[in-house]
Amino acid sequence: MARIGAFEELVLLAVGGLAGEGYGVTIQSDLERETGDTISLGAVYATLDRLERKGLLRSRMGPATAERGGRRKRLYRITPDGAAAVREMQRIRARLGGPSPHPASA
Amino acid sequence: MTTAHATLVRWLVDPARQEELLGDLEELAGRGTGRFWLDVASVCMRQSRVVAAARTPSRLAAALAVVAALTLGSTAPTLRTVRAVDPAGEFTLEFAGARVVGATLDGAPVPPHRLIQQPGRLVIRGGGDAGNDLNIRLASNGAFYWRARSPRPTTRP
Repeated sequence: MARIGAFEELVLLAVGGLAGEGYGVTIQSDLERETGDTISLGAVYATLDRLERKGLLRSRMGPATAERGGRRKRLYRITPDGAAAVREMQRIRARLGGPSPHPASA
Repeated sequence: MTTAHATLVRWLVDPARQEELLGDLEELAGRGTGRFWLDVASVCMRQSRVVAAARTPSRLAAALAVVAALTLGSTAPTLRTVRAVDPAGEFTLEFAGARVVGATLDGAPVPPHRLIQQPGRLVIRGGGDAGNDLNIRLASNGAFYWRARSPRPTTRP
């Protein structure tokens, strides 16, 4: 199974949450809203490309819209392998997590 | 999105990815200038056909330097000249971004000391009717407005 990094996991979760209608702007917007960080569009697309090469996402071109100057969106959908990769990361985290870490007492 | 942004993306970005990237940037164009430039620059760097073509570290470094220089260089405001006509004749304003950097009245350049620019307003000293000032309101969208000047009296030989 393909290993994913923390940011890749966030992108996969955002794409999954948008149910096949996610594209660059909405994925970036959801990530910024939930993380509170500034995330560049270039970073989002670089990660989307990498995840698609790994077979964890699939993309298709949507219809043209007027507010985009008649240009089409590239819509992303999570694949079964992508969903499995997210579940695996969550399992690993749950196994490692346990109680919240705390400093050793003196 | 300005022509400069679109030209930069068309020139630097992989042609196969331009449609969705230009469309996304069109949607994001209402953001603050700095934030929007971050998105334009990041797309130009990370989806760049120049960077993709460089296969060795030294060529990649050179390509990144070129892309960075072009991205930063294109932030310089572009010059545009707008021609305006009213019953008194023609005048032009030359803009660098939102700032007026030159003007002509009836084809003659207006000396810089006669151009008084304030936020949202430009005064051309002596450019109005009967030697009065010509007051021009500058809108944030690049348009400008003025009270039409009266036709000049014809001079007899």
